[in-house]
Amino acid sequence: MKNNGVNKEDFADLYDQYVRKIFNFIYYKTHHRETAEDLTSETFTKAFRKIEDFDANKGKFSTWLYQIARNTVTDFYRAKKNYANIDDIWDLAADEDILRDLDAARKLEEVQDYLKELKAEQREIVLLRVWEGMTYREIAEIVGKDESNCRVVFSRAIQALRQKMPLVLFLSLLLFNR
Amino acid sequence: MDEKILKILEDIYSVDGSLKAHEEALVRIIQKLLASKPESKIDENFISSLRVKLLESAKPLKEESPQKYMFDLSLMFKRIVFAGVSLAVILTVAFFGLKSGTIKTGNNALAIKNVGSNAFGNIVFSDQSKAQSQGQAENSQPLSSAPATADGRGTSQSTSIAAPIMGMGGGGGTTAPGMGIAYFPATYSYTGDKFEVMSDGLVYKRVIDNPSGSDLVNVINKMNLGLDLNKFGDLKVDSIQISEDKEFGYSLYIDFTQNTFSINQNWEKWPQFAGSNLTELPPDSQIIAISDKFLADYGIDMSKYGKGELMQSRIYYMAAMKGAAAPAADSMPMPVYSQYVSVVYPLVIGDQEVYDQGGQKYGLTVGVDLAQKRVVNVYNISTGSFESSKYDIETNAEKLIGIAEKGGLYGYNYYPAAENSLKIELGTPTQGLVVMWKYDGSKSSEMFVPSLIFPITSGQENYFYRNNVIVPLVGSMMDQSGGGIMPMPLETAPSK
Repeated sequence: MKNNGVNKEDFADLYDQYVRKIFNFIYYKTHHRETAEDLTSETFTKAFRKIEDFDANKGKFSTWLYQIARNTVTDFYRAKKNYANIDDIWDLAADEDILRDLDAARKLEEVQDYLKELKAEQREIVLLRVWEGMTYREIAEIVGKDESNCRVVFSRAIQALRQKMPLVLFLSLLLFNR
Repeated sequence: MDEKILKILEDIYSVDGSLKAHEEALVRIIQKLLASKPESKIDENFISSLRVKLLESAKPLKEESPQKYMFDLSLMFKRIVFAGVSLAVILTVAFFGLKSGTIKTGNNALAIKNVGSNAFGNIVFSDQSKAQSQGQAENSQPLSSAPATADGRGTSQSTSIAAPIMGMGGGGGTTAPGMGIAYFPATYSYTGDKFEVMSDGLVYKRVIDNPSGSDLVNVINKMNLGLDLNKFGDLKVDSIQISEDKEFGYSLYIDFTQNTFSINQNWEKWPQFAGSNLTELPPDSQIIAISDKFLADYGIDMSKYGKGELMQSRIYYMAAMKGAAAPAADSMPMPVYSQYVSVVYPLVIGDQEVYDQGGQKYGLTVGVDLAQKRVVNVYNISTGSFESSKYDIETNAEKLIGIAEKGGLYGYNYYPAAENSLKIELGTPTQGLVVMWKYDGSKSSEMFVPSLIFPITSGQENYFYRNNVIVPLVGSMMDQSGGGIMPMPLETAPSK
């Protein structure tokens, strides 16, 4: 057992602290509530079983936990679709035979093609920053990078979106938001 | 302005102050992203029940002396943990026909059964790039209708069509057509030699056998699961997953419904990795050697696959790393360096290599982590036999060249021509097969259709991800210029 300062008795507190965040994190990668619940359950079950493997010298608990969640989502889609290049639902075409919540599909209709084009890590940082309102310190812990690196990735991702959004969509935004 | 947006803008400007000039655009994008946030709404009952479940599981875990079932199963999984050893062996052997040291993924010589002409129904290449091209239609312009020159050589700008090219991206460094980073307008022109189409017109279809069947359910039923499977009707095994219980171990996922299996790193057994700061790419030969060694060590039968080669994404990444000049500077993606690359071993059917519709070779794919110099996954390992059926083919070289100059499959996206369009030159085509999936209700069939493979001979160096342009000789292509269907053959051609 590693001296990680975390044991199973502490796990209940950690669960309370992270379960909603992990669920949201997974939901943004699946767009389907039942799937997100299943994968959240799987994430915490794995984390609970492997808590003694967590090494505090190698990273923070949150980094470790989010990595388990990330891997769980990836495994889910790769096993389901049998493709090596799927990390989450963003890597699937909109018409793939995968369950999506109607509300999520509707809301994402206009932007999903552009978010899709971002690298998985870029997209993750953008969504954590914009949707979850996380600080760069929090994001850095989740993605295992330093804060300044996350800032750069975010900035470049937004810049990339600016360049990719077609003029027509951009004009429609101008019209609808005035 | 919303304080949240202001804060995000501050962050962006702290990295690149010049972006302040685009503030209005940035604000709109952030607003749009905020408005697009789906409601996640976690169920509080779910939180409570999961909490109880986890805490209840603590006691047995503490008391239990974990009994792990180890056994030797070929060179591949030396230490597999599975709830039922016999089941794993039976299932795996039944599926792969395991012999010592080798995982058989099918007969060495492919079993191909001819089933007569036009047996697979209509062959239609649907607009698979629709999802990626949504939102671009506003920028569209009509396809040029000018024909290719008579000999197909040196077609001018007026006969070429502007089409977007998507640079490869995506997480994990493994890529697929349709996952893009950047779009560049491009024009294609054929510069190859005259040619004749000599295809035998055979379309192939993979036949899925299901050796697991319902018999395997009886094996499971003998395990003490606390559940009587006889109470359920018409059970069969759809899939299993077995895992190596060792450091850097792998998991094997077997899908009996599709007769495929895949290998993934067993995340729980891979040490935490702090990330990498790779500054240079290893040579191709070194990466392929890592992949070859893995396949050989684990005894995966490669008799129906060609030699491994790096997927085209690598070229993109290399170009980005070198800072190669992109034709559209403001569309240039930021330099990225994937920690992961994929090696593809093309499936070979009847001496023809298989390509995907984006022009990359298609077959068994191995993901390699460059930082750890380890294989992380193996995908698209398929089993089963094939059926073949003869179809009429298009033999008019001029028309085929004309389609190639419009980008062929995946090439009919819209994008305005521009002065800085990439000038893509196409060489003399070879013949191969292109994979497609035909959907019939809830089932899909994997088909392999004879096609011309036009190699891209020039213009590829600037962030262009495609190696080849594909033009099928059989079936119909959705003509994205107008949503109509372009029949192939374009004119009725006698069956050879």
